[in-house]
Amino acid sequence: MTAHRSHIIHGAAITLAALVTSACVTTTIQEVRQAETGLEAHESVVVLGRHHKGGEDIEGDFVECVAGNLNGGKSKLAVIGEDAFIDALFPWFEPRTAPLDTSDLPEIISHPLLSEKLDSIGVRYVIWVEGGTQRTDGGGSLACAAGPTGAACFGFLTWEDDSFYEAAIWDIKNGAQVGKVSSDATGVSYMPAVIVPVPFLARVQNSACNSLADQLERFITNES
Amino acid sequence: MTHRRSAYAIVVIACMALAGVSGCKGGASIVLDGELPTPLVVSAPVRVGLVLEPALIEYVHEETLDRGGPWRVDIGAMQPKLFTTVFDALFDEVVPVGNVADGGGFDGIIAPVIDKMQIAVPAQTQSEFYEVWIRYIVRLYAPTGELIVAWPLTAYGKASKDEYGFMTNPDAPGMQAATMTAMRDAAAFLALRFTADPKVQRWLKGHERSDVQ
Repeated sequence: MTAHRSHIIHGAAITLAALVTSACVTTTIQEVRQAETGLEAHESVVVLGRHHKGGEDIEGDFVECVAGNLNGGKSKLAVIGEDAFIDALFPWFEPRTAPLDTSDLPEIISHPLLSEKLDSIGVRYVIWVEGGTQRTDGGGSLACAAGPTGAACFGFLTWEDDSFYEAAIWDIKNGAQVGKVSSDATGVSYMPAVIVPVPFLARVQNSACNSLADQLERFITNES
Repeated sequence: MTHRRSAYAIVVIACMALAGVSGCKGGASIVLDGELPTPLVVSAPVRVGLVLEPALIEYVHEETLDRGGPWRVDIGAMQPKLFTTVFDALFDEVVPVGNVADGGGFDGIIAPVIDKMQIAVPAQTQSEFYEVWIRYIVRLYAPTGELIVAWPLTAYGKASKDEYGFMTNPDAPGMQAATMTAMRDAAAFLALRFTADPKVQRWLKGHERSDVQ
C-alpha cells in the first residue's frame, strides 16, 4: 500500500513537472504609431515603470522583464537600466516629480543640465510602462489533511488572471510621444488535487511581457 | 518508514504554526543607511549656514502598531546626507554651523527639523505596502536671526511586501525600502521646490552676489 502510494506520488511529481506551465494564455497586442522611429548606433532606450503617487504601481519585475527582452531580442537594443537612469537624472524622474505626459518634456529637454546628461548617456526613447495583473475570476475548492500516515489534498481549483500593460514611447530628441503599444494577456489556471495538487499555471504576466517587448522592438526599429 | 513520515508531517505542521505565530507578531528594528544621488539643479549664488540639530541627526521613530508589533526606525544617520547633498547642489556654498546665532557671516541660515513621522505595515492596513510619511519643517533665517520662512516638506515612501522575502519575514527589508524611498522623495521635492517658494525667491534675489557672473 505504501509502495503503491509512493508510485502515485512519484507519478504526480513527474506530471507536475511536465504540465506546470501548460495552461493556455491568450494575448492581444495593440499599437498606435504617431511618428516614425529608429535608433542610431550610439542611441539607447530606457524602460521606466509608472510609480506616481495615487496611481497603480507597476511590478518592478515586469519592467525588468521588458527591458531584458528588448536588450536580448533580435535587434539587441541598447537598454539603460531603470535605476541607473533615474539616479543619473535625479530628481527629475522620481515618483512625485516625473513628467506625466509629453507637455512636461519641453521643460526637461530645454534644461541645460538635463539636456547635457541625456546627451551623455545617449537615451533616445523613454518607454513608460503602466498596468498590472489582476485575478478576475476563481472557483472550486480544495482541502488538505495531514495524519499519522501522511498528508493528502483533494479538490479542484480554477482561477483566471488578466495582465494588461501599456507602454507609451517618448522620443527625447524630438520631445514628443511617438506611439503606444499595449499587451492584454488572459489565462485560466487549474489545480486538480488527488492526493497531490497539480497546478496547470497560465503565465499571463510572462506572456504579456514577452509580447509587449517583441512589439516594442519592432516599433522602435520601425519594422511594425 | 511510516513513523518517519509521521514525524515529518508533525515537524511541517509545527513549522507552519510557528511561522504563523511569528508572522502575527511583526515589528522590527532598522537603522537606515544609504546614499542619495546628487541633484541635477543649478546652484544659486548664495552662502548659507546649515544647522543640523542633535534632535534631527539622532532621530529615531518608535511605535507599537496595532496588529503590526513594536517598531524602531532609526533615520538619524541619513539626515546629514539628505540635507548636505541637496543644499550643496542648491547653493554655491554650504557651511555647517552650530546654531542660528552663528549665522552672521552668511546670506542665510537653514535649520531643518522633523516635525512628525508615521509608519504603516501590511498587517495593519490590509494592503501589500509598507508605508512611511515624514513631515519636515525647513526653516530659513536671515543673518540677523529673523525667520524668513518655515517651509513644510512632507515625504512619502512605500515598498511592496511582495518584493521582500518570499520565504523570510519581509518586515525589516520592506520598511527599510519604504523609508529609503521617503528619503529620496524628500530630497527630490526639496531640490526642486524649495527655491521656488516665493519667500525663498525674494531672499535669493536680495542676496545675488555681485562677484558672481
